[in-house]
Amino acid sequence: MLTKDLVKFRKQGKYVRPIFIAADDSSLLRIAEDLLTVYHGQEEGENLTRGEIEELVEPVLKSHRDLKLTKGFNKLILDRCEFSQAEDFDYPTQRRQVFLKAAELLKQGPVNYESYHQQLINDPEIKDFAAHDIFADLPENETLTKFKEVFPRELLERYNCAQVQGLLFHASEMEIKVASPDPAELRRMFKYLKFFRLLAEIKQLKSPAGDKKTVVMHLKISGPASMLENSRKYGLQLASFFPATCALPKWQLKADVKLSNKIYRLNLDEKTSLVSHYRNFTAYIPEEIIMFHRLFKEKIKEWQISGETPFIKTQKDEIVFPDLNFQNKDGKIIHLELFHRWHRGALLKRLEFCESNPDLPLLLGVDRALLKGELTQMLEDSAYFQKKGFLFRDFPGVARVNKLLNENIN
Amino acid sequence: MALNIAFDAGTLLLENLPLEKLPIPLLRQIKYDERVSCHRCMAHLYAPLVLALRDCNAAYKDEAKNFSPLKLKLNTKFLPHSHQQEALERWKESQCRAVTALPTGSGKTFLAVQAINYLQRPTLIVVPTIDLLQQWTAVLEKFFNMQIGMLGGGSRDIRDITVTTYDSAVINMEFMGDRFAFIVFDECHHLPGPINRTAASMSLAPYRLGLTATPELEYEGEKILTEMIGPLCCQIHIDELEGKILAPYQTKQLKVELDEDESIAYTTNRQIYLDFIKRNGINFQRPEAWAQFLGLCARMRGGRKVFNAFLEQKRIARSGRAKVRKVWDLITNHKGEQIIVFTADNKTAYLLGRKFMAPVLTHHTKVVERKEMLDFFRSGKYPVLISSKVLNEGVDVPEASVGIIVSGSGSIREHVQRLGRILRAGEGKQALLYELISAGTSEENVSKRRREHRAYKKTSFLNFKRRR
Repeated sequence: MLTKDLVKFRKQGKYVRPIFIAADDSSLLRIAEDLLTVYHGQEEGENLTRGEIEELVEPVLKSHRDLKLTKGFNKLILDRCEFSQAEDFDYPTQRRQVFLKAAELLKQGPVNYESYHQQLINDPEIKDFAAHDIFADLPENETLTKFKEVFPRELLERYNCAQVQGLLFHASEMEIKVASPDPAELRRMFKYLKFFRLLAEIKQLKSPAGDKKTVVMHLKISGPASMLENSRKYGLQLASFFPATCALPKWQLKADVKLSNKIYRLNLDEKTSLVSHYRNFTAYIPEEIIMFHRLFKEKIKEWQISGETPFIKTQKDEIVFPDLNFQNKDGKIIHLELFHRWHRGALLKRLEFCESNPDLPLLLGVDRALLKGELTQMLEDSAYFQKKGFLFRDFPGVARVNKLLNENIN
Repeated sequence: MALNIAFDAGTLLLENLPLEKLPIPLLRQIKYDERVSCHRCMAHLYAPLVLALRDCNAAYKDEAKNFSPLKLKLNTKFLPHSHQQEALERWKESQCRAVTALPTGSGKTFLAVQAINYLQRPTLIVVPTIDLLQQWTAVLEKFFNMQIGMLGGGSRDIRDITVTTYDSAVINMEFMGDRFAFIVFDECHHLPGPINRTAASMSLAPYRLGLTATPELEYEGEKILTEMIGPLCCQIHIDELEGKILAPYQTKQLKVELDEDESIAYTTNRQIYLDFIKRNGINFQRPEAWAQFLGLCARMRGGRKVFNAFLEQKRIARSGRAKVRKVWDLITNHKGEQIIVFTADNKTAYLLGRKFMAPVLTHHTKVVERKEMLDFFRSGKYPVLISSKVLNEGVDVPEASVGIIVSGSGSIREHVQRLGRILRAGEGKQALLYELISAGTSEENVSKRRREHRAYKKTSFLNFKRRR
């Protein structure tokens, strides 16, 4: 994401508009390519340091009159880099020797600086190290070890997306209207909503005339505490969620953004031609769920697991998006929804919904961290949970899930 | 149906809320949440809410708090000093929700230990830096003879008594805000920021203590501290404890003439910068002036040159060669004493570290090495420790008796906190703080601004004689 100083926008009255670039602009594509060439040096075994990279990219950054823009490109590339320690060398130990020698000399009393310095750099125990930079392991000397590939065009598209994210970082809530004929696309968006721990007031709107397949929804999205505190705490989560919105074929966004203590309205829609980089949710599935996927596929043959699940609409305009989907050879489908320690409110509502819909093909997995006070009793008292629910710690057990699937096959 | 109170991601969910029974100021802070079909308020309102419900005899089911009393045993023979005892009593009188302002070195940590021991409840201590995280953990382990949790600086170990940083508290409070009955905010003047304050508002801890040496805040900041922690219940100034609890001290401002070539370079570059801001009508009294200056430097032809001139004149004033020589003179003149050198930026700190081959502590210093540096400095193995901002606040270096401010900001708070580093009392210890100013530069004005504090206005040091 871009830092505040790199976000480019224009204020017009009470509105703020991000300044987008043309993702097919040949001169900008060339700058992106030049920058990426520097970082590709790592693949060719150059082991560039941060300092060296800074030196190499500087002329490229300055080759365009808009330094803010080129620095923005560079920031997005840096976000894809991993740097190692300066060298495989124990600097702290060597430094300790130097500091102790220096301390000995200082304790001896007033000394002339030149003689002090000479004594240190000629001391046989430390002279090799002291002759060089004793702080050579500072970040500027860290070496580039990994670079996650990105193509020039993709970088420009990400830059446009990052302009919007940079503004949403200063918002406390946003409203979106989304439409898609494909439930899987909407489901994916809701998964991101859940993943970023955001809440939404959801309304299903009328489908366009003559197109009953297209589902249209209005969502007012914020964090649990947004309605109480005008906090920017959820700005990062809103910004992180945004690419899931612009991944849909039709969308509109409305948000109030606080800049220099003033509120500006941000309005955007699919006409901006923003390209989302959230194409595959699997990249964002928590580690424990990936592990569950793998173990389940390895151990259980009669059920197939998939992350692709349709949504289930509840009577309160609330939508259930199960986390996992299981299908057996006969085509029978059972869903699984997991509740972690921050999902207490959602679990209470789900229990209530499931009790009145006992035939729902939905299993409930509850993190043991949620077992407190009344909730423990409620789970014990819930006929639905006793039949279709289970408890887990860290991640669900494969055997337990398989047993429940088989028990609830009918 | 009885009211049900549950903790949910840093807020309280209130089912079947008896609206008519609650006082209006509290009601104003509770809203109906359509998303979950019940009322919601911030977690920090837990105590006032429960008290209001008790006052009106309303039945409620408390599913929010997730803690029970502890059995703590204080492992010390120390008795609190009278000022600590007084602060503790004032805090208790404020329903154990208050801010106390005590000078650095006067035993704020011990006050918190007394408060934890008094309450016997799970406690979270929130501190501004990783060094303080380690320092508090070590102290609490010693006093309570138990393992203390650490959250932050690479650790994620939450226990009945846990120390965390403001950054980690902000990130994690929505998950653990129900686990602690008592929350201590060290250096609580950091709390009022828009992000940091969520560390307080998302915790339901009914008991709260704010500790600071420099409580001076603008009206809005004070209001937030009162709302999130409680009122200022006790304030004791440096000069009230000087010579008793704190070491006697003297502050000395030393003006250093720039070398001739640097003086010329300073004047030339300063003029380029001043001409630019005058030509473009930039007024640094306005809050947006810095952004305006940067924006113009980036957009205008020749703006880069102006920006470089700005940086160069600042560099010369902060770390000119004459200042570096003066630092060396002071270090060698104070043989046998423990000296902390403060700089405004990392660059100057490392410049001095390379020059004198002395330890430098900045945010780049890794945890193990920074602990060793502090330990070696405390034990006297290292007589000098150079730091930019890491040592400004809180870190306990009782052996330090000489401070050298090579450069700093115009912040009064920073200046008072830096003085505080050398004030911890010791046998025969007398503290001396030098402030180096490049003569004829903008530093003279900066220094004037930061010295506007009672601690720098005392006259008692006129007859003061330094120990040699």
